Amino acid sequence: MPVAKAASIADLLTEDLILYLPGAKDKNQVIDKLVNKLAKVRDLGDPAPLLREVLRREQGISTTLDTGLSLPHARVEVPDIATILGLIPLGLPDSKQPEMTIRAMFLFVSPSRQEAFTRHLHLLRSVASLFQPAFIEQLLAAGSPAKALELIRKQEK
Amino acid sequence: MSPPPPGPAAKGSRVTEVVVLTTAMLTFISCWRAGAVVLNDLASTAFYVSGIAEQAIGKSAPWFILAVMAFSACMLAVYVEGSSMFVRGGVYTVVKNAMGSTLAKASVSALMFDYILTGPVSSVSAGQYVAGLLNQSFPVLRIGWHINPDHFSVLFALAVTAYFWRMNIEGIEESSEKSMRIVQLTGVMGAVLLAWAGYTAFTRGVRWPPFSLSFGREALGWLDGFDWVKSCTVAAILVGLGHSFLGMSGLETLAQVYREMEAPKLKNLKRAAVFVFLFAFVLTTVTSFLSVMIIPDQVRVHYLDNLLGGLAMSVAGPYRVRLVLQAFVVVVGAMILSGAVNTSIIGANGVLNRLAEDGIMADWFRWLHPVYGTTHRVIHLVVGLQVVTILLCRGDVYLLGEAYAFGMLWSFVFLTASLVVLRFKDRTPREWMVPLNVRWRQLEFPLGISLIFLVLLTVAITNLLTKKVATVSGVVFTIVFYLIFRFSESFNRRRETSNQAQREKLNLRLSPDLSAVLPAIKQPNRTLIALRDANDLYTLQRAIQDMSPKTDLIVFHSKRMSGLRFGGTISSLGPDQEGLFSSVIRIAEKAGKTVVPMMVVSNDSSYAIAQTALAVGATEVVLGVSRQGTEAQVERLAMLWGALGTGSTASVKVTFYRLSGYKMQIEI
Repeated sequence: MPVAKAASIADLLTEDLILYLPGAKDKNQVIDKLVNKLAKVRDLGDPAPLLREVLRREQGISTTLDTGLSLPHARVEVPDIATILGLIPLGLPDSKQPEMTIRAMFLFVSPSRQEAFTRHLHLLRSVASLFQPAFIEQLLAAGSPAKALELIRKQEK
Repeated sequence: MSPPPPGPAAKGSRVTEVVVLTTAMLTFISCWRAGAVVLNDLASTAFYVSGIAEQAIGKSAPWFILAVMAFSACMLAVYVEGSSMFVRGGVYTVVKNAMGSTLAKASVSALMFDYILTGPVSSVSAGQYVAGLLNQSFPVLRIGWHINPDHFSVLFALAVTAYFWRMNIEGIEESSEKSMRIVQLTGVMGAVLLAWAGYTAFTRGVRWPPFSLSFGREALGWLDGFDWVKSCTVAAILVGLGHSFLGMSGLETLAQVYREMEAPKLKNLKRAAVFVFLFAFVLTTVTSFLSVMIIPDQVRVHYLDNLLGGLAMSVAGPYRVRLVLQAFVVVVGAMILSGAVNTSIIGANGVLNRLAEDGIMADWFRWLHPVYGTTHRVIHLVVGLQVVTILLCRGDVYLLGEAYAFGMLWSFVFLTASLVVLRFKDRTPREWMVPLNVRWRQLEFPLGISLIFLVLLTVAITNLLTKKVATVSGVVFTIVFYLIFRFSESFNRRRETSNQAQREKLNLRLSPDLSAVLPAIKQPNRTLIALRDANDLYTLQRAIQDMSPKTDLIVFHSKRMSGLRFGGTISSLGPDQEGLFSSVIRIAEKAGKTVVPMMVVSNDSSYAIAQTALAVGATEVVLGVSRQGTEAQVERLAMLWGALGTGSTASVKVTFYRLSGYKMQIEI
């Protein structure tokens, strides 16, 4: 049975929610930066509890894939899914799996309600499917959030 | 159905090595096939039991054969109870659990004597039937030949034994298919012969065989000088029953094929037992009555080694038509008697495997055939001993028949006694019990099975005194085998730990990619179950329980190895993996469901699970609950499913079974 089509990833992002992070050196710092920005842009209130939950999840089973994508996430008290994309041109090592280099970080929070879990899983699957190494390279080469968003929209079609 | 096409992950270059664990023990057969294997021995006795019994006790033999065949229902019930308790059961396991290792080895030594004799007595008898037909056909065909039946039957027996030796090396699925065809043909032959002979008896007037016993010159054995035996009805009946007991040969094989019987196991076992009983009872009993009723006494003495051939030649009808009927009977007879060779090899192989698993026989015997996965060394041993017996008997069926039944009868005695003991020793609820159990307050007395035991013990003691050849050769053989087992056991104990002996021998098939597992997948639905270690077996038990008939269950284990991405080098399984897959096989065997066991080396088990599930086209992945929690496990699988299965829109169900019995299922 085919999966019900998840919401478009491009629709979950705006230019404000795509960041180029050329100087990124540490995964947790990047997460911190992305959470703060997400909370601000999506008006999610105090970013501290969100950050705590995302970092707590990071201590469990790895969220990094060997495609170069990292998917930090948390299920928290939010009305709807909120996402942000960080692009890291120089890459940064994953603290848990040092042999993996993170080139893109798609961070999101989703509602903790049980009925939202299926959507949460479908988003994980869709993002992991979309962000293959060649596509990440294209996004890094795009150089601007607007171009990156356009590329995502095109790729999803 | 052809194997499924490889999924997207199988196309990638990430996989460097995959291990598929193959073993013939994961092939399951239907109750009809299992019944057919047993019937090839049990029903084939119809071709020689009447002749042998009549030589010993005279024309009243059919009455005793009737009693013995009716009693076979009781023995089948005993075997059903024993097998319901032990999947890898039979005499050895049951006796060992009830009365200890020494008696178990003694009873199995006696049983081996009959297994070694079953093949030769059946195949030599088949040779006698064929030789009889050929000698009768030569004059009709104007051929001036005459073949020596004894010499011919030895050659015939060797050829048949060699054929079934080969079949058994290839595995039970192949050999049970042949057994099934033979039983179908025997059913047709039996129906034709019984109808024709019944019609003949009706038109000529029914004359029932006499009840009075007329003992042959060797029938009383060491009791020959005691006239009271002949005049005492009870003693005479016991002697008569003892000489007819070989009609029950082959029942132990039911216990040996039980582990290879498909689900639902116990229901199928009962079906097989009823099928075996009805078929053997009708064929053996009715043909023995009709043989005495129709074949004139002066003619029957020439047909004692070939009695059903004589019956075919004595029915109403023209000579040439009767000759054709005889040819049909002989061809079918030769086939089912040859099939009994197969049954004896399967049964003996099963019994010796139980001993090898228990560390009594050298571990060397358990090594599997590199191509077919069968315990070929045990089969070589059994067949080798049968070949020696065929050469030594020089075509004398009566000699083999006289030696026969010692081991069978004593193994029945030990088995039944053990089940009586277990009723008191192990009070866990039984899936099925021999009926007639008398309950008084908290006590339950197993009256039915105790009566069966008393009958068996009485007949066995009588046979011990009357069947000299069986007693002497049986005792000698049993002692020799017992000593071999004792010596082998103590030798093994010095070399190995018992833990090693209990592990399965598994054939490994190495491959550079996951496509290696595809040929083993035959069903339209596939479920992948990932097991970490032997503590995860509850998950497997539940998954097997929930498995639909049209599903292949791929039992997956990822061996952790740091510094690797996916893949590595595997030359053999480690002790943990051997222990895990041995348990997997035992659980699958107990349920009677086929599983496809496989292992990969990886530093990321989730990655390996997702890649394998995609490669085999799994629609369900069953996971054990890890310390990090089910939510994180499903999230990781969803990420990997997306990353590896790019472009795939197929969904997958992720299932967790909790010890509390709760089943959690999520679709990604």
